[in-house]
Amino acid sequence: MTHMLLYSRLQFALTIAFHYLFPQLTMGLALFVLYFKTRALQKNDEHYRQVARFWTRMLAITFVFGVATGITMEFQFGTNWAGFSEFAGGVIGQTLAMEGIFAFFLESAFIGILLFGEKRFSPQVHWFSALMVFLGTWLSAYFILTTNAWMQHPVAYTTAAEGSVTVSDLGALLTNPWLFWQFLHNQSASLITTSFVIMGIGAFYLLSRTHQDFAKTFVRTGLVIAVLASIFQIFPSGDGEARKLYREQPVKGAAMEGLFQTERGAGIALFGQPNMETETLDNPIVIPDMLSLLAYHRMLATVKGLDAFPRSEWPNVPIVYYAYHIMVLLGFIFAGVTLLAVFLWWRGKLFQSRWMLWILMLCLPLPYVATLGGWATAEMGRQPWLVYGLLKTADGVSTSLDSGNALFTLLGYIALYSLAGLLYLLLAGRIVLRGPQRG
Amino acid sequence: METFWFVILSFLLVGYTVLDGFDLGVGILFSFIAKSEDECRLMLNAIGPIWDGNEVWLVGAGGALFFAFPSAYASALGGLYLAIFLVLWMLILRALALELRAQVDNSLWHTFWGTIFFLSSLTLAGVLGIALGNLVRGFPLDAQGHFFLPLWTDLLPSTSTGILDWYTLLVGALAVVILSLHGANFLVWKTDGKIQQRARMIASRLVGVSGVLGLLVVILTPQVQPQAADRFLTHPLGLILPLLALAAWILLVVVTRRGQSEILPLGLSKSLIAALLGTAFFGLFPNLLIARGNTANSLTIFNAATSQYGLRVGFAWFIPGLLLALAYTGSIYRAFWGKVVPADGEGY
Repeated sequence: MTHMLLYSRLQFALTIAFHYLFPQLTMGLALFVLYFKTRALQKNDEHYRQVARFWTRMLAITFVFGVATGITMEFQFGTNWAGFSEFAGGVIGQTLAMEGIFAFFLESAFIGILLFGEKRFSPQVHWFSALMVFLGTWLSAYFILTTNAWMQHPVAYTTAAEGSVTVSDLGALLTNPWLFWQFLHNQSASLITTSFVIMGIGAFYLLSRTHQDFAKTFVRTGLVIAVLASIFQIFPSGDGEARKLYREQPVKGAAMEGLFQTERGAGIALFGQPNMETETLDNPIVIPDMLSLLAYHRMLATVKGLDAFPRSEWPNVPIVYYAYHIMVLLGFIFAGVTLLAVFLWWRGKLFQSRWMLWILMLCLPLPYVATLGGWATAEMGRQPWLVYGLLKTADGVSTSLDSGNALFTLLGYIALYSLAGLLYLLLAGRIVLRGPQRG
Repeated sequence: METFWFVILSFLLVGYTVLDGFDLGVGILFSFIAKSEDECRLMLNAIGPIWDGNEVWLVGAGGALFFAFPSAYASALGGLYLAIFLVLWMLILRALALELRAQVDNSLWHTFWGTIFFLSSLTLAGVLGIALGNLVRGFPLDAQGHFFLPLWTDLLPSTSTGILDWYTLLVGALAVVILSLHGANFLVWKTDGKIQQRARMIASRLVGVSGVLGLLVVILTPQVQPQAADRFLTHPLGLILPLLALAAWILLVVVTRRGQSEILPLGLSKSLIAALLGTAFFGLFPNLLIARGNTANSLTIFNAATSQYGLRVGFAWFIPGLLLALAYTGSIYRAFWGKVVPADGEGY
């Protein structure tokens, strides 16, 4: 039973983490492609038309990998988490089915037109298909985050006689107060990922002295979005997330900071390793009072530490602590790097500063790491709860499943996704090397 | 309200099978019909813009089952664990094959992904039939409505059966044949020249085979599920469905024999599939998962349904959502109406 639970959790973690590598880029690219196509359409501009085509090629393969790895997610709720599905299907079934009906049909139909229809249709219709793909992918994110927000902060439900919960107010479910900052923070993260990919590839071309015109468009357009999204990610969206979190899930907040003791005027840890034996933070470098200030906007507010909660309600503290710190560190790096690049751009030196282009190119994969860190903080920090305060993860797993069958499928996914990951890198690399000039 | 959701669920599953059915069929016939690289491309381009949308119907059906009948969703997916993952892996591989084959211009690459495309399409078609066979045969549900089936045991539909037994394999074979036939009919409509000719020839052979297999399934079903005919005895109006299937099949025999019509065979195989599935679902109603042995453990649309509020509020958004989905489906088919041309795949 315990092994089966572990394998099921690992499988969910692997499949969701791998899946989300693709949608975070798809959502951003859908918006960028829409922008490039708008420019191309407005001025009948061949340069932007080619830029749009290039990024549509990237969108196409990313979209397919997202779809292929996404179908698994919906069905895994039933296969490995039958207890959870029986318990909460009456609530999250609504939002998941809405995603299928409102988002998937929309995006799948219009991606067909976007990818196969440039010759068949007028530029206006083709532009419209890009708009619809953008709408579909972002709607999809909204419904999935609604589902996740309910697991983090259950609202609008009633408990039936046999113990399961069902939705009592669909409107309240769709406007869960948890959702507001979560949606903005997540979508802004998707824009950071995408703009760093676009900038990074532009920087690669500039450094290799090929496709210079395209490269400059990539870097400029990417940089504008990257700097705005990076700042927005810290303030107000990150700040909003943090304040909401310390109000509703204080134990997760304590784990994120490695705060073992409740403190008045708690600090934030810049560095340190949570020691689970001594229940202290080893080698701490702490800014005093900062956590109280960030969480409650008062220097001397009391922040609950892990000691305020029984150990059975703690999440896995080190994992949550490191995941959160990696995300925050990278978030500040993104803001710093993009501000510096904007400064160089303003002084007219950006495209000559090869060291800066090197940094932009090497930063390309980092937003993926930050996103993974953020989600690991949110989901691992929610443990031991599957639905916060209502259902423990151990009670959500399928009772009819055994560890041998669970490990079999976990291993299968490891094999399949290793292959898929390699293929994606190979194909994305080919698109980059062939350059935007063709087709 | 529960009945309404059963109908919706059936509609989505039928929609999935008639739509994705033909592109699965194209996958099964892929290596048999296409003889050159150009012909391969043409066949892939014929389903290129639509296969993804077709697959969404499966996701839609999964979603509807999840929220309307959560316990049945949990029980079926948990119990058919290995089969579900087989389907998911095949869907992943098939999507990759469809999209990646054209990305690299190398004959080994083409052969590799072409084979994956064939194998995954074949497996999916088979598993769809096997799943239907399982639904009819029933499951070893316990008092909590849970079960777990291995892939196979002794291949006998007894109490210790697996997902595969001779009966479900037979239904699986029928599904492979009918969906191949459906795919051939799609190619007859969508292509011309040599591909169309070969598709016609294959279709005319498959019609006969499907008749034999179909007859076998009809004869043998009462052996595995003695109550299969009960609902048709109490509600004889339901007999319209199998009669429709029979009519569609006879017309298919006639039409494929003549070999003139382009779109009619596709319409007929659609009707055939819809009527066959309709027959199965009508016979199943009001059960979702039939318990073998102790029928008191069966999950029905009544004991597996979510709250009345959930079903009602779902009704309010599902119907407009479904109409929108139908509109998208309709407009994309309209947009790519007519024969597929080589230029359709260019650009990306």
